[in-house]
Amino acid sequence: MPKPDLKLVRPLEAAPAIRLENFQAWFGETCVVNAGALEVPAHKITCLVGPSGSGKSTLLRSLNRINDDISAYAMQGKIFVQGQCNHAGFKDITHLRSKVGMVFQRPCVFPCSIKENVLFGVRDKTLSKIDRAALVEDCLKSAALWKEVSHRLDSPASTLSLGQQQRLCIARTLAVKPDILLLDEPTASVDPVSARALETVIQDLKTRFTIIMVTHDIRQTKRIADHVVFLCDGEIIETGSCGHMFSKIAKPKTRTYLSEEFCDC
Amino acid sequence: MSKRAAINIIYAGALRVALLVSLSILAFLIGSIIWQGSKALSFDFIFSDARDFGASGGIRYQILGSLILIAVSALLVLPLALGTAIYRSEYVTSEKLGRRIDLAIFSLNGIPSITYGLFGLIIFVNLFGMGISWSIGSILLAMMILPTVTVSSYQAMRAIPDSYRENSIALGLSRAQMVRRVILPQSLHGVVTGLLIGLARAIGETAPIMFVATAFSGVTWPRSINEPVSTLPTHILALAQQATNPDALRNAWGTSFSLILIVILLSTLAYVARHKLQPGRPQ
Amino acid sequence: MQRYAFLSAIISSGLILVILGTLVIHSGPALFGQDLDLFSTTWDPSQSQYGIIPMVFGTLFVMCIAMVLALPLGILSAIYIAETRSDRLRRILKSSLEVLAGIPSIIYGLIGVAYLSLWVADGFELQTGRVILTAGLLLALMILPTIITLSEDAISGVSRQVRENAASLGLYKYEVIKHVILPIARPDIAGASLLALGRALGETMAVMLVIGSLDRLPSPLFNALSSSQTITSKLGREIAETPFGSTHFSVLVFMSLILVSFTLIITLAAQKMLNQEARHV
Ligand SMILES: Nc1ncnc2c1ncn2[C@@H]1O[C@H](COP(=O)(O)OP(=O)(O)OP(=O)(O)O)[C@@H](O)[C@H]1O
Ligand SMILES: [Mg+2]
Repeated sequence: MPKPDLKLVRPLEAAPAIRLENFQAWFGETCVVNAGALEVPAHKITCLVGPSGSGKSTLLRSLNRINDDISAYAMQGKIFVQGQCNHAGFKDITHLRSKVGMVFQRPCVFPCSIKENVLFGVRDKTLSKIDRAALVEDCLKSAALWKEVSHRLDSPASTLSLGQQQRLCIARTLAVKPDILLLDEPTASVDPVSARALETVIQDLKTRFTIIMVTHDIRQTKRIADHVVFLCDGEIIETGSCGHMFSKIAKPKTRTYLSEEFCDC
Repeated sequence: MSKRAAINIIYAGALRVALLVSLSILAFLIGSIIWQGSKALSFDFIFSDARDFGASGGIRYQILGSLILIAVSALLVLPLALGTAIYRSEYVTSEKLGRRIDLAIFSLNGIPSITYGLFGLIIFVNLFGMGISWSIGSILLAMMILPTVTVSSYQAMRAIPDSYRENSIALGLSRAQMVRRVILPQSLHGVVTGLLIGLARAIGETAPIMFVATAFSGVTWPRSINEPVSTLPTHILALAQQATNPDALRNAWGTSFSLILIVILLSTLAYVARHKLQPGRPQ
Repeated sequence: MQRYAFLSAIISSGLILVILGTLVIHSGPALFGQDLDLFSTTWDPSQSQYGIIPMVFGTLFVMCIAMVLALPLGILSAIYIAETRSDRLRRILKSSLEVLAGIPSIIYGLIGVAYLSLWVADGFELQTGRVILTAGLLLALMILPTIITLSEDAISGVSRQVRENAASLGLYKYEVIKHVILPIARPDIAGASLLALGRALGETMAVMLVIGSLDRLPSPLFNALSSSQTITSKLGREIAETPFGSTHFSVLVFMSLILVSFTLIITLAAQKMLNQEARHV
């Protein structure tokens, strides 16, 4: 079987939101991600799938340089965010992070009210009170949380249920107005019903953001992904459109993993 | 550059300056002790008698006195702390009583060391008429380190899983037997660590012993419990008060260095005890 | 076994009461005996004047200097150490700080006598360097390791998750610390500071050697370059020479009682703060 050229499977209509070149991530002496080249299309949902420990979170966390604060971490190669290198192109790392928002696997709310949580990343002092209220409402609506919390915006965020907290984290990230959203297993800690609700939220967000999402749920991938990246042992095995990846022409390894059979990799 | 970015830079600078200042203080303290101490320290210094009010000669009897004080205070504090910890962990059933005991014992930590000295002077020297004697020093030091030893032992006992207790009772052991055969061996690391940490602190204390247990010169080893001894910290005190005499000052540094070496030795032993004596437990 | 354990517990818990009781009983003569003006500003036993205000003032003054210097320095250093990427730097610093925290106070006193007081005398062109400022500086040095170590524990005890969440919202480092980490670590840092404060208040040896032992209020009042006296240095200097049972002795015991009340409250409050559970997110 001829080796598919990764560039060919890129949808040609838009410039990639994120592009990796010879990317490698290291923890101490071990190379945990060896991604080579990868392009993530804009305004699509790209799902990162692969077995546990394959480096999905590491890859995701490299994109907005959250890993930089871990002393053992080192990277090689280049990452371009909307055409700008995420190191050299962003002298001020906070600019990168407000462009590339991230929601972590486990929801983590700050010890303050729901409203303050949503506005946590909004550091624009000139914003009027009305604008702030509007922003809170807007973000909570986008995260499908408004109905549940609109009457108690000032109560502590820790009183929310886990699923609600996860949506609050999404709302909080939206308030910073990023272009790209990184979601690390956003549905992992919530029940199946809330997970479906979150999926709808994510699909609605697609029009405004480029979404990169890690998930372990194959069926979820099938439901919402436009584009799938399959990672195994730190290597990108295959990437392609959702249709391609779930079809017969995908690589055997991909097919085994995505058909939820035992995968030996 | 935005205002926030500017603040961030100022803040990073402030952190760096603070660390640098702290580091230089650290380096100064450690450096001066090692530098001055190593100049004065020698084999002779450690093993000879003090002469000329400490300005020449060595610190043989001071080391001996300090060791006697802490050795006896260890003997005094150990049964008391162990008993208290056992009572607190194995016999107290009401949470309220437990907290009262904790409070009473923690409070000892809040008493300034000079007050122990005053207390010893009133009770032992004057009311009991013991005069200035090393045994008072041991008693006071034992009181001072009681919280440390008790709490460390108690925490080790609390960490023993309740299944151990249930199983021993189920095997027909009485509570006292269980304490002896299960609780004590399983909490040994906490007891030893607490004791060593306490002794490391006790040996450096000056205020509680300086007017009840020690004499500055002319003291050798004690022949009865009612005699004063000479100790390392009180020796440093006496020498520091003659700091204008360079010989006295040099010996003060030498004595300090020896004292610190003993403290470090005890702390290291405590560290080792914590890790080596810890019983392996199935999860 | 039960009887032995019970007896030990009674004795251990009773000690604090015995100590406090002894102090109270023996401050009796000072409080109720003659018509003494304890809260005056003159201390002159030969005239039967036992004003303890100079000592109380000296204690508070020295303590304030120490805290004002050590607290910001210690907390900023703790933040740096907790936030540094270098594990090695952290390990080295933490272990040297622990060694420093274990150094007996008399050795700090020696450092004060041998260096600090001379530097202060030179720097401010004083006749003697044994002044309030020196004592404050020395105490600051003494409590700095404690403050740094405990605050660092508190700050690095805040989970990495919280930091990462805040950073990924585009907050600057100082904002993460100010708005997220310090609020969460505050009770622990407050506990650490109180513990250091208690230690500074009760410290005798280091202070006694460098304070200059002058039983008068400084003039002007807030002149840190004058000699003074703290309660502890007063006790350390005079107890041994004062006849047991005299009024003078009783006043000293009373001063000690005041000191104990302060340090007890502070230490117990610190203990309570540090023992609070379930505050970490
Ligand atoms: N801070 C770290 N230090 C050292 N090694 C790490 C660190 N974080 C992750 N690793 C290692 O990197 C590899 C990839 O981890 P990563 O978290 O990216 O996996 P993952 O694909 O997200 O797995 P999961 O699906 O279970 O979340 C693992 O082998 C892990 O042990
Ligand atoms: Mg992961």
